[in-house]
Amino acid sequence: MPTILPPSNQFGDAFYGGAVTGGGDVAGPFYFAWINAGEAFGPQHHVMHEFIFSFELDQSEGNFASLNIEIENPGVGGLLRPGRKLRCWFAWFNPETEEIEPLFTGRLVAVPTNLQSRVVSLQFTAQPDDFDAAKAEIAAEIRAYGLPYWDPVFVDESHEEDPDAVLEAIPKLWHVDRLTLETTLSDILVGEDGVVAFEEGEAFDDGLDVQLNDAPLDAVEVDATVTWKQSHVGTIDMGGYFFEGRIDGLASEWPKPGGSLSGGYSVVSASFVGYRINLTQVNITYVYENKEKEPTDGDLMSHNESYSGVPRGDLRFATRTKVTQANPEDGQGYEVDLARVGISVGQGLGRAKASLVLGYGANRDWEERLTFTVHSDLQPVLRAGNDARVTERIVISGRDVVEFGLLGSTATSYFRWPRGDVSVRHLILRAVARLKLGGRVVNVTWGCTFARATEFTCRKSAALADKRLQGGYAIGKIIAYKMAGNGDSGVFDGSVTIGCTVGLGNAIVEVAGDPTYVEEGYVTRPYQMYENSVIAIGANDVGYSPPIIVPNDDGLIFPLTKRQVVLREQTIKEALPGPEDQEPPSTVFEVIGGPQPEQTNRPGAQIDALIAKAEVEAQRAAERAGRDIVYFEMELKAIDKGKFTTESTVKVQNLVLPKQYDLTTAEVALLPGLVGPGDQFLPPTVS
Amino acid sequence: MPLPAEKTLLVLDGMGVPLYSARGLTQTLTPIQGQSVVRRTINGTPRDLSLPVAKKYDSTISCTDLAPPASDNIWAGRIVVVHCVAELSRALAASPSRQVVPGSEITEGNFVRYRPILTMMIVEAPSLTMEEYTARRSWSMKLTEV
Repeated sequence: MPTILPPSNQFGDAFYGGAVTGGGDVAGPFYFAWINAGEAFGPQHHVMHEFIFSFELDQSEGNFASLNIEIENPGVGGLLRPGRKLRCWFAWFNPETEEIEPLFTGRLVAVPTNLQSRVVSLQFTAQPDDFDAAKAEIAAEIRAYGLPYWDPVFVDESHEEDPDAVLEAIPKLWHVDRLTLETTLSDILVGEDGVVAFEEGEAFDDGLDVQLNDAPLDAVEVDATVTWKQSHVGTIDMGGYFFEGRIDGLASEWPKPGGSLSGGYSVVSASFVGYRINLTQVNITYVYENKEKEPTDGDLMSHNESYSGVPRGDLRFATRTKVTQANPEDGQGYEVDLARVGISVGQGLGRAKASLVLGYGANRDWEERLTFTVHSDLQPVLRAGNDARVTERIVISGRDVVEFGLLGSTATSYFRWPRGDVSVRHLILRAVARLKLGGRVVNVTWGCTFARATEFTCRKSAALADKRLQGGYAIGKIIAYKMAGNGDSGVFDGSVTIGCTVGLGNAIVEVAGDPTYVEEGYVTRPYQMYENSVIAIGANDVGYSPPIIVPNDDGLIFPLTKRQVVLREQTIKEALPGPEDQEPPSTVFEVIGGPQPEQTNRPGAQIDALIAKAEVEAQRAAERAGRDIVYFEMELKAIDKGKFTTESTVKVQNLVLPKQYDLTTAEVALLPGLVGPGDQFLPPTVS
Repeated sequence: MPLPAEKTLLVLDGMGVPLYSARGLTQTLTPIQGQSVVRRTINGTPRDLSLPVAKKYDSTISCTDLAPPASDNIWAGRIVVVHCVAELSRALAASPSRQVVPGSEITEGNFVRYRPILTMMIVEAPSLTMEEYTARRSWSMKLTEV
């Protein structure tokens, strides 16, 4: 019997290189055309290039749509022929619209290995050649949009260009359209392209399935840390200093320009100008008046002498003075020279003026840690076991925010400032993205006609009204769908699975909060801080209160001043052990010329005693002064070391999730046969 | 065409047909299972996926007579050439698909019927049933075309 080639099939032996006869099947209601890349669907594709016995077209969220077909083996000259077309259009005649509508386009995934069989299976995938480039382009747009959905602070350097990294805070998945091969992002809870609604009775009786996944994700804990080096370079004028005493040691040890000091300091400039001084001013005053009523001849009647000054030169002073002393032989007065022995004190006695300008290079490690937990507002979901809540944890270390250019090098907080506040929002949105996915705990699957199944995409939601569902209704994002056909059985149908959240459907209420820093209106955030405020972010389904952060630091404010860094500054004079308790030199003075005083009770002797005493005191003072070593001590705050850690927490309102499936309603419809009059439940009878 | 001496048109070359063992036999010619592999496409078109080499026949020969068949040491796998009793019919203009038993063609109008010669393999060795009092022996054998 001759092979029947329907008029619409233009491909016969020539298409397959003459190896197989028969060409394709009659075209319609299904159409399959091998194509080259880039061919738009058109009338030239209203053909049937293969004998397809069955097909299955499915897609799940985040994945490419795939088409699996069983065809009659076209022979060796078919599938493996060099230059063979590897892409296809798959379409059908929609009886409702009376149009030939495309269902799928894609490329062959792999050549089948069972080529010896009469029936071979082929798999096609709706993956565009430029998928990676398309993802990269979308990711670049998201990065360009930036905060709060994309915060490079919390992106590892190795993933900066990774397109999937942009979805950390965005609850969406990649989607490729099975007809246009356009790459987009699709929300995980609500379809962007509308809702495919099924009324009561539209879903197949069998095939309705409601699955409760494992316990919903109840909370996400976030522990985020940013670090930076607080650094600043500057100078501190420490002012002038004055020292007096034995300053030789101080002079040699005074900081020198260019030197370095511990704690992160260096010497920018320093001066120490000292000069030797005769330290002790000697004041000697002698006043004598002879009070005797009957003075003896030769008695000294009066003597006034004073000396006041600082010993000069070699600190040896000698003055001569004359005293009138009565000559006991003739009672005539005569002058006597008195020479005083110079008081010599040690070397190094001096005074000095000093100055000091320090340079500093602060280089301190700072770490700011932010922790918070975001809970979901969920319906109560029975769990097996101990009802322990499921919590996920995000621990993330951000980049050095100073190196990243987001913070001045002298800052003591990151999260407190506007840029840091946006990072807080970003971190919250990361938790929200995970909670949204984890809140989709109910999967509802049902079967439907093939015609309805052609409406499904993973960018849509689907809704089902069915009294068998709790609450009689379910709506959710399409997470998977399938449409299939089998020529042998004649069954052409479809199915869909939606993911439903079990939220409470509440709303976030924003609250201004109470100002805590100054009166309202004086300054704005971040200088003004508010308690109990609630700011809605993201899709306005979560709110938070910006944290009130008090940095844990040592109070240094750059540029530094002397007052900030000096812990202690002290000039110390330390007396060397010396001959304080020793007897003064035996020879205090020497009388030059004239008779020596022989009697201690003579006025001259008394004068002599006064002189001797004063000089002894002067000598002692000078010697003490010469023995005092001057020290100068200064203690500064170290600024080159130390690690400061500030920990803060954020109050986050519960994430509001839509109520896509109601587990709380008491209304549960029962299967037919179990419902008696008045919708009363009829317990099954045991025969 | 007169009956052969064995009183039957059946010839089993490689086995033989004893006298009075095959009178009134019944022979079936059934296309083998592999001959019918038909799938229907999604557009409703049936497609024959059978291999051309699968266009073969199975045959069952059964009879009740007074003598047993020559079944001694005849087991499944034995190749016999069967001059069939069952007939095939073809269009007058067509060629026969099998070798024709000489003298078996009968033309009636635009059709010719004939008895084919089939090379067959015994797939079930002859089974025997003996009725002692009536001395009737029933047997059957299954073959498949090689």
